[in-house]
Amino acid sequence: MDKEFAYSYNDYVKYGNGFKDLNPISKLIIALCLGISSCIIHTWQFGVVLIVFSTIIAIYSKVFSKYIKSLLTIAIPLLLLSSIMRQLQYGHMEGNTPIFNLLGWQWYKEPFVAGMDISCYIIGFSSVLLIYFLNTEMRDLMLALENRGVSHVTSYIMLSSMQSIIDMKKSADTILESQKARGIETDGNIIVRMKAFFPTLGPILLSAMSGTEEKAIAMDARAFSHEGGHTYLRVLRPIPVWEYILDALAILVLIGSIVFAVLRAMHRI
Amino acid sequence: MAFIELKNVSYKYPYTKNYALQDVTCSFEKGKFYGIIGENGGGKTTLCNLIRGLIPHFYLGKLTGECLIEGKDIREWNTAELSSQIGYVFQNPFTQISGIKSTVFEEVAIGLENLGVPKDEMIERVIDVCNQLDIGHLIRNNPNELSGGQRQRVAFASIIAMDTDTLVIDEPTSQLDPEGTENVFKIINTLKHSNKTIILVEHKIDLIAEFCDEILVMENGTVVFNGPAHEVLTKRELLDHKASIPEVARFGLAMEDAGKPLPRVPVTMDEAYKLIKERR
Amino acid sequence: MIEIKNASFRYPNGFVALENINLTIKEGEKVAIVGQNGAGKTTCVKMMNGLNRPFEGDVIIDGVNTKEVTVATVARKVGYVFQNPDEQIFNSTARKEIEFMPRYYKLSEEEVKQRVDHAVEICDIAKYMDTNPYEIPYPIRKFVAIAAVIASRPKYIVLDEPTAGQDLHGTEVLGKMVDTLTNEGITVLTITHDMEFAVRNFDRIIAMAHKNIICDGTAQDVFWNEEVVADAKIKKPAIGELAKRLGLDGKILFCDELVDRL
Repeated sequence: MDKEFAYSYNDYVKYGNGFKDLNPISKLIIALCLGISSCIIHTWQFGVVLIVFSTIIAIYSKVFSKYIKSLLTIAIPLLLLSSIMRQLQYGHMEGNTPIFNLLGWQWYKEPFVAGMDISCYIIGFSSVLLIYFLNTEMRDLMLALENRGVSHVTSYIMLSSMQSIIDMKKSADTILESQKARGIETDGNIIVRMKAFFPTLGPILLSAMSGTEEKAIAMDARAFSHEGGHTYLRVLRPIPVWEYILDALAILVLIGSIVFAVLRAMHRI
Repeated sequence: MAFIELKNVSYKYPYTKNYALQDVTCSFEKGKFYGIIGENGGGKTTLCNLIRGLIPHFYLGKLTGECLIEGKDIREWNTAELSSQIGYVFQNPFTQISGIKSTVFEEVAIGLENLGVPKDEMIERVIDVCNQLDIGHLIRNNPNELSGGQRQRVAFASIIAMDTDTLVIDEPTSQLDPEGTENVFKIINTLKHSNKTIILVEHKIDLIAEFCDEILVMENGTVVFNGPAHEVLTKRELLDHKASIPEVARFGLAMEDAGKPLPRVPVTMDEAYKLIKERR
Repeated sequence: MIEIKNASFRYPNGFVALENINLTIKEGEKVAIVGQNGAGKTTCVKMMNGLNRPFEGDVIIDGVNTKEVTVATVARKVGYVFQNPDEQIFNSTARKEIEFMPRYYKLSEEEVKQRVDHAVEICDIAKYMDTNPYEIPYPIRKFVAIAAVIASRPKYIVLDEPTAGQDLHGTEVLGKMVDTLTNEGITVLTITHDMEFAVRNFDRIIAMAHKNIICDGTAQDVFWNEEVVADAKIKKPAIGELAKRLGLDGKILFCDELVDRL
């Protein structure tokens, strides 16, 4: 038996990475404040700053490859779509500054910037949330919430629903395989595959539901409804002062962005 | 003293026509190993549900008669209290994993967390149980990715870690592959030597013959035979009640039929061997 | 006829599960495949219905190479009942489940009824026909899964661990089923860990170990070959074990044989 691993539970939950080890709630506050600021400020400059920030954190917390993959799948279509849309919408307006000509299609600077603004703020917002979820395990977040008074029932429902989605995917695969084994055509064009897939949805849901009753019994046998003290095998690190300072800074950015947005609006009027 | 006592218990699940238990009277004593056998649908699982307090607290329905656990009526116990008295392991290895823990070590600790056991004691107990059930090599694994057999062992570990005096085990191997089955048998063998009261529902009759002190045979919601293992398992009538008997007992009965009976009908291999050797 | 010729199978992750298997199974045979987990039993039968295709060698079902047709085409000939019925059943009542394949094949109403009745009788599940499969007890649900495959009328039926979780009655129904189906000319194969069930109901036993077939013959050939028993990690049936411990010869496996000898 791996005694070292067993006794590692004596320690606080630790990942050995400055960002990952932040309390899930502090981390959430930072991510949300920055993300919302991006939406409020709504300029490509702030979006880019945020993307750079998230990218640095992603590299630091060693989730870069996953991060960039997900980010690009959002960013590329969004950039293309919003640039083209804005050109089509505002391209004909007077006073636009021409920038380049794409095979006879004249592009202008102003709609291009407007397109960049909208895509960059969304990408910026996504990037902070991405680094949050790539660096935070749901169970840690739930544990932090439980420490703040959320009931372990809520926490159980959240976590087990996430697991049951994974389990449903697995059972869908096995049911499809067994359909093949019975002689139902599942290979071929999309219609054939759809025809094979739809009938499986019912049983997947049903089996998930029939499992719930047994799960409840199993959890009951594990003293789930026991009243009185509940202890935890995994304990989160007590929140150090500097973490509160980080949160305060993030909140300041949010307040700053609100002020900025209000001033900007007044200026425009 | 009888630790669990049932007097004229009848029970009907909600929305069903037939009684799942009919006028059942039996008792279970501390420290003994009980086997419950009989046809599927005969009421074995319902009996377990009753002893575990799931009837009447989880399954409503109509319950009459008396079921006493340590002298107190089952209706007066709450299930949380009962769960720290009576452990429960059942068939389906997939629904007995919480789905909220990401290592086996944490999964095994789950009951102890709920009971509020201090952390250092919790760690020691989990280590002990994992060693005892030979799942030490799995503690880092994700319980949601284990095989059925491994999950069942983890389920046993979570329950055994809670260290209840009584364990109700309902067909622990019926959904397992051979390797998983063998590993569960090993666990049951360890339990046999632990002074706990065990109530085991199982079809594998050779296992029952080897482990049990007492046997109850159920059919159609009633207990048709109840007594010391050897006495029950050698009854010819058992076959008429859709319950199987060990191969060697079948052989012993066949010897009687052929007019060359052994001194008694054996129920285990060793016993059969000895009886034949002695006679020769 | 099922012919497996020099077939090897490798999973997509590179794990080789079967190495150079040769096996021929004829119409109407009763074949039990035994052996430890990981010996390749399930991989082997999944090769017979096309779910697994050999990366070397060929699997030929009634003259058709499984590589050349879809799984569904092979599966019409070789029906496979999964060990876990929940992986297979997907209709809202047992009846719909059993009718599903006959209807899928667009058979006449009369023929559908005839096939369903026949399957239901063999499996002894008449009283559960209009029940939701998830409300049917697990062991009976296994019979629903079997009936659904019988109703699709394959020429070969593979049962994966059918006796697991069954009571005495269930095991007896299974035993009779093997006889009924083979009398109708259907080949019945089973993967089983229940040696008593194998010995009682199957006349050809195939023992697998180390990704290959190590013995193929009668129950006596397999269970009285100590090397095979040890290698395949199988348990000798109780009567055989007792006879062996008593030092009796004659490859005894059955109760009456032993009674006669003592």
